[in-house]
Amino acid sequence: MVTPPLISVVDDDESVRESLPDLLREFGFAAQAFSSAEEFLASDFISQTRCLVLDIAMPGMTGPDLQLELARRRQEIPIIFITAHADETMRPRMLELGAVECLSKPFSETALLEALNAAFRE
Amino acid sequence: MEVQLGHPAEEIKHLERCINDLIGSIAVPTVWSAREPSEIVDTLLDLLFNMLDLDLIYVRLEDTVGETPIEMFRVAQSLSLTDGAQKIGELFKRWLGADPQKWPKQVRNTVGDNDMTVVLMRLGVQGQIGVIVAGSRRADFPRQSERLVLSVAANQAAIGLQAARLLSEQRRVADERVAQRAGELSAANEALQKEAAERRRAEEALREAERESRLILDNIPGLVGLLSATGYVEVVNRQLLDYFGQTLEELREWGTNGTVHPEDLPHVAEVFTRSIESGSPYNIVQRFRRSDGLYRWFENSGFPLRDAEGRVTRWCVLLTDIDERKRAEDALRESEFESRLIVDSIPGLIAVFSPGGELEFVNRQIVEYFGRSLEELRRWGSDDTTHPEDKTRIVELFTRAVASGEPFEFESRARRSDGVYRWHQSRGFPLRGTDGHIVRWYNLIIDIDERKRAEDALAASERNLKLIIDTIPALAWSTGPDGSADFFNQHYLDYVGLTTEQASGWGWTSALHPDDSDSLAATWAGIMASEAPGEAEARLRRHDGEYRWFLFRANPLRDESGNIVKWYGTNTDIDDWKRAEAQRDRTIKELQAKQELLDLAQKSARAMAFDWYPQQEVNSWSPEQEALHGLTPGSFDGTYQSWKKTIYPPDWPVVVKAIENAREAGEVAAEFRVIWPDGSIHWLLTKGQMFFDEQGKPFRMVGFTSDVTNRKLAEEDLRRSEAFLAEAQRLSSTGSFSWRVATNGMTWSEQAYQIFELDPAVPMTPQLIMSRVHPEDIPLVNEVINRARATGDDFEYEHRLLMPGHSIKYLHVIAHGTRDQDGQLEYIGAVQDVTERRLSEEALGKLRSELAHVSRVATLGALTASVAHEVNQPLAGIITNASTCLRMLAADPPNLDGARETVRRTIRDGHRASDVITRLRALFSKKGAAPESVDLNEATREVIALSQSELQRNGIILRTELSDDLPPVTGDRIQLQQVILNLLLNAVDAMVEINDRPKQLLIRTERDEGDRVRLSVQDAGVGLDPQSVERLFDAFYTTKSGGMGIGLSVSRSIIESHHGHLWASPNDGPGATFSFSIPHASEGVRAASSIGAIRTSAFTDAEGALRKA
Repeated sequence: MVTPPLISVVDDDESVRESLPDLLREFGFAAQAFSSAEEFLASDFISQTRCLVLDIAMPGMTGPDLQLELARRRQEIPIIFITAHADETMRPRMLELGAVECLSKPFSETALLEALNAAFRE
Repeated sequence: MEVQLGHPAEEIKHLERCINDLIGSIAVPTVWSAREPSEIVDTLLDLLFNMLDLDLIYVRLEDTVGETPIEMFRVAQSLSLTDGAQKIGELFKRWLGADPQKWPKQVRNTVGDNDMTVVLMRLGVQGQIGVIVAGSRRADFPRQSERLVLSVAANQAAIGLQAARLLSEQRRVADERVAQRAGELSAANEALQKEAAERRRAEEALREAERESRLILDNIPGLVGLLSATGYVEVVNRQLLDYFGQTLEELREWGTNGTVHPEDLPHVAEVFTRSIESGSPYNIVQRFRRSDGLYRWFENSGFPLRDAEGRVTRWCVLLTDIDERKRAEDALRESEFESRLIVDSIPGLIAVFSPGGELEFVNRQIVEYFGRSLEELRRWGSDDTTHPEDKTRIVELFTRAVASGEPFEFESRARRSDGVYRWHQSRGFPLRGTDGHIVRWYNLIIDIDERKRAEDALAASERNLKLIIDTIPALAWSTGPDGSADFFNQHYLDYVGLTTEQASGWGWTSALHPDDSDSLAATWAGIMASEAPGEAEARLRRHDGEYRWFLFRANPLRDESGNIVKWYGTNTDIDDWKRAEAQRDRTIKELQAKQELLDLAQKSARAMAFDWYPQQEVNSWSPEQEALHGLTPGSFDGTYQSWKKTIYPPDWPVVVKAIENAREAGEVAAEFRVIWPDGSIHWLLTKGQMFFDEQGKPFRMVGFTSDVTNRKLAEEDLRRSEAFLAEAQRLSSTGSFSWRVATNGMTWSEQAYQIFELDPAVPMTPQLIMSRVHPEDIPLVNEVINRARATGDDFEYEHRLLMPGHSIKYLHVIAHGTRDQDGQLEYIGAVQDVTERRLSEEALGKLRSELAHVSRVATLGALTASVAHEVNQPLAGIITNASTCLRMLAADPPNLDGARETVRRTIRDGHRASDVITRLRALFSKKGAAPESVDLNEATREVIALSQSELQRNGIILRTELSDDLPPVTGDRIQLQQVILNLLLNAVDAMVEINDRPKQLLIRTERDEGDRVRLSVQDAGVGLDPQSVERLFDAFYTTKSGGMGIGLSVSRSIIESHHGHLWASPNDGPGATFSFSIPHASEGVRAASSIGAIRTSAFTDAEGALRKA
């Protein structure tokens, strides 16, 4: 039996947590949603996670903070950042920091697929 | 007998056969018994035919029961005779002769083709029964044996036939009889059946009746039994069985088994037996034993039931339990006996009557007293026991009492045993049984003769006394010790026109004058309390209605113990004397009053009446006059010179003129000053009249002089203040007015005219005013005027004037409503030209508005992110869900449930986005100041919601402490939210650089003292420099690079326009707290509503007008 790869979604926004995992499953992936970075870190899914879809602005530990923490733990998980802030400086900065992609909400499924392909190519 | 010798064996056989035949034929009759002749013949025929081997055999029976002879035959087949027996009979008749009786015994003849020998045998002794004819073609026929057989057979047949005949005869007779009998029987049967049916019906009916009666019997609430005519117990109802606890069989033994009380049994048996015998009903009172063994008294009633003939068919017995009654009766009898004993012992005369009024019993004392027996006394109603004068009356009373059942009492004279009539009091009362009916009347008779005589004597003397008292020519009366009147003599009653009934008790007080009633009552009470003679004065109303004064005198009457038993009194007419006195008093009072009035008037008016005789050298002055001139009393010498000296020199000409005037006109009126010894100047006003003598020379001047210094000074002040007022009005562009509402009369100050640019000479009218009022404000002004007219309340409002030159003036009007001494409504008010102020306020307001707008716009930048963020989230959800939906629908099979879920989420996110837009739009709309009731907590929450992203993005940890009982404030919701947002964003900015401690932001709302509401935003940021706190609020001061720094300045002015203030202070820990405090709704609203409501419309209109102008 081939288990589909797990993608974890970390976002404090409920709409995202509700809608994104379904779409990912439609793509053929397995998906888990977490409302905060802390919740993700406390879960058992870290090692299984093949890709992380991560909100940037969150109360408490932010997206970039989580990125740093995972790096510290030597967890090499490809990260796709998502953000509701339409800021042109954001994307280059995030890519520089090592993210696979940084998407602005709302993003199309095509953009998401491209980002996922990029993530799995690595 | 012939013997034909042939073959012997054959012969033997033949003989044997013959014997057999004989035996057979002898035996045959046994077969024949009880057979019909025809049957017999039939058998015979067969027998013989076969036995004798005949060719023909014929039988004719003569003697038959029926009329026609029976003819029967057998014929051999070989013969060709097929005719019936009759034919054969005729044949034989031919052969044998007509009369069968005469037929020979034997004959040979030809029958058909054959010769046949026919033998005839007669049946019966003479052949009366019939004949047998046997024929055969055999030549040897008939042989002897055959003849024998024939003969025997014939005999046997005859016998049989005889027997049969007899039998049939018998049978016939029997049958006849039977038939007859049967007929009878069937008729009887029918009758019987009918009877039976009837009887059945009757029985049924009887059973039914019995059932019913059984039912009735068993339901009668009584013990019922039915006995036979002989007294045998046939049936008893259920109750009876239950009562006695015996079975019917046992009850039948009532005579012996103790059901009847042994003591009663003999009597019962005797009566019962006699009744049964005589058939007359019985009624026995006896004891029966109840099921529990107790004997109880019963009334045993039996009556016979008779049939139509009067015979007793049954006895009906009814047993009624009268035990209680009996015991009661017994008890009663007992008690009666006892009471009789008592009654005879009571030392009184007691009689007892039946309920119907018959004398039943009299006690011993009565008998002895009246010297008569009970029998004799029974005639009391008619004999001489009662005095003839009283008899009718008391008989009637007694009869009525007995009929009505009401107790009676009367007094009458009765004849004692010695013949003397003495007065008695007779009291009777009924004794009732438990059922309420009267059982008997008890009558107690008391000898009251002595007392009566004494009463009579007393009555007589009383009558005498009354006569005396009524003759006395005075109003006399008496009361009981309590003061309530019990007697009035005739004069009194005649005077007041009341009857004794009306006047008795306290009724006489109705004749008192209302004004004297209370005082007399008090005096009377006092007299009674003092227990001493006393008097009082009061007015009594005469019978014609006129009140006259009376002197009431009362004297107590005491008994031996010294207690007052009565008050006696007389009333004497003192009216004339009283009137005279009253008049005198009145006159004196009047004079006194006049004097006092004069003195008082002088003092009050600070005026003095003077009386000056010009021709006299010296006029003495009263102390008041001296006082007017500031002179000590008694110091004025009364000379002209001295007087002149008191006049203030500049006013001397006035005085002279006045006096000259007086000489001519006769009247004097002047105001002039006098100097007091202490140098003070006082104004005096003198008014008076001059009187002239016969020569026309002034002889006397009389009048009043009063000190009017105060008034004069007041006049001066008034003049001065009037001047001031006019000046002040001019300076302040304020005019004053008064408006008498009823008449619409108006008085306007000069300045008011100036404002309106109207001619002061023209009287002001409401119409004139309206001609200047700005057309758009006319409704408002009318409304205010109408309301003022209706309510008389103070009013204050603003409106515009449209001047002839098309310029506009802003007016502020205040008026106060008062009522003058006639209750007429009058308004006093002021009108102020506030145009300049208004214009500058407008400009300021406009600037502030612009500023606020700019401030809002400045924050827009900071909020763009918020907008984007807030909207992007739901949008992202929508797009993701839509993509998911498409994929799900494209799946094989389509995932409809999943698709539905995505659609639902899409719709929800769509609403979310829409809400954000709505809120933001509301926030940024450029609305004018609109005061409304605002819940600060609500407003704060909305601001927080809008700033979520900002807070999140900066990692702010937000806490709120919003008070639960926060009263609403009045103000502009948008503006207040602006302020809150401003403070919030400032707090966020303050913490941007902080990373060594939590970025805590606290927003708190609470009640503040003085009916205010406070909102504070506390941060943990860089804090404040206490020195430069105030600078923060300066417009354009900023520490933010890229910020416009207008926020706080505008915020402060917004708060101040809400009658609040905004300030900042450093925290005890890190960071600062910015707070504002504004009054809450109750204060602001009330103050605002009456003025603000009117002001608002005017202002907004003014704004529009300004733009146009």
